[in-house]
Amino acid sequence: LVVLFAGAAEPPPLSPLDRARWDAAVEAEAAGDSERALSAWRSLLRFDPGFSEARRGVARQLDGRGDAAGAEAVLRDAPYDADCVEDLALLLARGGRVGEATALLPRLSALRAGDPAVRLLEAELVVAADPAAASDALRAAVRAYQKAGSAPDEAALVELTARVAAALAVSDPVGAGRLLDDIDDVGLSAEALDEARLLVAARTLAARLAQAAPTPLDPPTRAKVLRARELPPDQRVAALRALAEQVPRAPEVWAALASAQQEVGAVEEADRSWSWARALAPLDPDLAAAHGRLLATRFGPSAAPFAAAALEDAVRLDPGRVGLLLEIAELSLRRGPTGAADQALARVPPGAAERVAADQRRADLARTRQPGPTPPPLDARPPEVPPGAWSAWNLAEAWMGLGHLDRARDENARATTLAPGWAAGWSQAARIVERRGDLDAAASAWRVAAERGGADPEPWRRLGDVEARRGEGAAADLAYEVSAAHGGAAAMLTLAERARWPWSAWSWRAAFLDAGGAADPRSEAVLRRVLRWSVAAGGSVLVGVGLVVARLARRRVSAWRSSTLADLLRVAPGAAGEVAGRLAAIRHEVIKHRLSALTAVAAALDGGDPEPAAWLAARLAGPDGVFARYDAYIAALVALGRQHGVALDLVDVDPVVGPVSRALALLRGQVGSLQRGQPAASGALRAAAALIEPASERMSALIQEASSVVLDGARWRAMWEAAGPHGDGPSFEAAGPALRVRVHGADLEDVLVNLLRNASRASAASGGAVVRAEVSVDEDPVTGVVLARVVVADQAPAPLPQAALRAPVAGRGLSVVVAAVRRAGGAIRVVSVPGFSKGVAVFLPMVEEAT
Amino acid sequence: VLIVEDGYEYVEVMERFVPDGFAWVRAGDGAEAVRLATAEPFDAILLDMRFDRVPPDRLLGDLDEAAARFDDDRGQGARFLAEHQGTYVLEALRRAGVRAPAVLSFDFGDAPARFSRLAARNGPLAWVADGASPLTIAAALRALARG
Repeated sequence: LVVLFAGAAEPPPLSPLDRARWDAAVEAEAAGDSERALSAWRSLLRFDPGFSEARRGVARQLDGRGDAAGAEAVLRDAPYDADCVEDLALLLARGGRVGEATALLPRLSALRAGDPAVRLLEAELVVAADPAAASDALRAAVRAYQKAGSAPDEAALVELTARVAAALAVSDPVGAGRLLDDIDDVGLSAEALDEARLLVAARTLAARLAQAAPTPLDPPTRAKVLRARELPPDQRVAALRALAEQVPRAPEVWAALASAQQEVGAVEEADRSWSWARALAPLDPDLAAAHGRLLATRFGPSAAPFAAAALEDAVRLDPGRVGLLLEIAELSLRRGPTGAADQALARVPPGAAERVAADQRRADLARTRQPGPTPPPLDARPPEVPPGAWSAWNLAEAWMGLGHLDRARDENARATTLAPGWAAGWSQAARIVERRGDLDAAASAWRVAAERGGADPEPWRRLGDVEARRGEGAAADLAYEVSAAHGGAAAMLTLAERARWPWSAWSWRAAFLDAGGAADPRSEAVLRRVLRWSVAAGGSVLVGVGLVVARLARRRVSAWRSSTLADLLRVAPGAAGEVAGRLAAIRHEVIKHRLSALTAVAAALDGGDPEPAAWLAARLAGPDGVFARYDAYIAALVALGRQHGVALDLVDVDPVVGPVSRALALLRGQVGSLQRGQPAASGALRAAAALIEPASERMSALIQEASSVVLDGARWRAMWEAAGPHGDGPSFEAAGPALRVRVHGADLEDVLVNLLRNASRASAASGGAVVRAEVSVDEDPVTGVVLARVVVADQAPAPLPQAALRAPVAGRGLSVVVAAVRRAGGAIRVVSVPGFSKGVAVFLPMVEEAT
Repeated sequence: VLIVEDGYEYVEVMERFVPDGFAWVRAGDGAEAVRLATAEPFDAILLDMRFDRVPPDRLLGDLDEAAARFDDDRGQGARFLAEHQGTYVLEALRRAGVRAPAVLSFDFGDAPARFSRLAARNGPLAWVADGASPLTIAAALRALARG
């Protein structure tokens, strides 16, 4: 099912003459001799029109030569041959005619007498267009297999499951996670199940990477972009180019630069800027469409395939952009045959406004259609490369092999001039200049090759290598990251080696294993490093090495790859304040203010009143609505994690915010139903409310756990010892209740040890006998807020000026104290304590439960 | 019921989902709340706690005093006033002689002693947790107003 048009099956009993034809057909097909294979299959079919394998062979060959319409006609001539119907469905689906393909399924199901494999085929057909329907079909197939007491081909099922899960992961990560468990009902072997887990994890990661948020624009930069847009065109280009150098990961900046360059006629540069913008925001249909239009209108016919590919991307990302299909059709016509144009036009859905124009255009094309598309030549020349460029490229390769690098460069320059959009030409140019040692030229050439190479990760990696050799670390990292985003396993490994943070290195290695690097000979060594780090990180008890353990470990790796807020706070305790602030804002603006009405709206829907649902829909999806606010907070948290080298997964993995994210994902899918007031939405509203309800409490608990410490006698003693040695110096006494203070443990230790050490040294120097610590509660009557008042006093005569607390004072540790107290949201001042010469009071926020 | 909030979320939700048996009036900041509550008697008051969307000069409470808590950092002081504004509004209402029972929308679940102190000083007072549904809020108001 998965391999479209798999090779021919075993021959049925045949006459000696037919047997010879069969062998000739199979042999020619294996040798790639399309002409001979087609003629042999045709002769078999001519003598027996009911010969299914021969018919499929003819169709396969026609399709392979680009004559999809011919293949379709041949297959349609056998409407009651199950195999031909199946091939026809796959052929139609591949041409984007998923609706027509699925319409064949009932017939196929009847012909195959309820074979569950038909449901698998259905899943296969709709996986791209409708992942949710594909997952339903997959589940139905598994149920049918269970009922029939049979089992499907494990490998095919595993592969299909992984594809469906990956497609589903974008819109419904929870459903994607659950899919595997449901599929397991068919009784997969442990090995296949492991394989499936790995595949699902890898594909889901790839889908996520493709979705990974680029650097969000901070308000000052956004303001700069806006200001730059007001400038005259020339200055605008310069200003935006400078900005792009400062903020190289912001797709908006690159897009603005591209528009400006386009306006002043610098189309090559604009092309490059659009490529950067798209590499950074691969899911943005606007960027793909704008880039496609530039290539279509401002470049020659050789750019047509690239323009069409960009516009196809835009349609794939946003299927509502039906109008682009008309533009794609016109671009296809520039390349000659009308078949591809017709296919693009046929994909305009029946209800769309563009359908009339599309039908008109198809009719025009039908009138002028040439008799059949010409088959491509049988050499390896890609169809978009002119013959002159092809021969120049081959010559250049030969010169390079002989070590004549100058001749190779000149010959290859002809290839890149004749076919400027052809990635392989630029790759070869880069290899040549790199061998000549010209790194600057190599970097430019690899960059062009990478931009022309679409989703090929390799040129990006090579660009990264060259940038690294030139000492351009940031540019190298960026190139490696783009390569990794395109699934380049080697780049992930390089990024792991270059990473500054252990977490970052660890997650790149895990990504490497998941992205198919498991097949790489280096994978075992990488796995060992990941394991070692995982064990050092304190999580797992992984004893013994071997296949089973390695599998288990890989599974663990995929579960650990994404981190939680608690992980972030462990790695970066200093981030607790910011995390707490964001969570408080989520509670206040999202949960409390906007989502408290979910169950009330559900009740209204159940009672037949649609109006509150429409009201809620507007509040959810509006420009300042719940979704927009929540996304901004989540993006800020993810960016904070990234700053500390922690890849936060705030959807699937984090137990605190994850349920809220999933609830909002659930609601996002219901906006349309809510707008229409459909009663079916009430279930989703209740489910979302149930997910959100406990979230507030979890947020409080996380912050409290991450950032509060009990200050009691035992801690005072430990701090006094840490502040030593005190020798014959002063004695120490601590008084007051035990309190839980809202400050990170390490910060509290900094504060107390420094204060005690200062007091102890001052006393020892001047003969002071006692250092005293006092804890009391300072209450604000209006707000009821309580602060812990912690005073450390000594009897040394030297006064401590209040000003000492305002500026960093070297050697006394006071700057450390002041900074830590400020981080905790507290205050510090010099106070007088009866019986002591001076005291320093620190006020710290308190958590109520005193121990 | 007088609703004191910096946005319009509570008044919208309550008017929509609890239209019968209640009349809802909104005040956007502390000063307006005091003006309305002293002009006509209310049966109950629903108070939000955080007032992030009110400019600092319209927040009740002494900014100097609040800043002093944070080593005279006025930014932190203003944030403190905004984050606890509900309690300042309550204090101002009681000082102005408004005795209507109040419900604070704030989760005191992990700070019962703080709530007791506030209730003892400025009662009658109850609280509802974050995300409480409109019906829960209405029930709390009704229970409190009945004494």
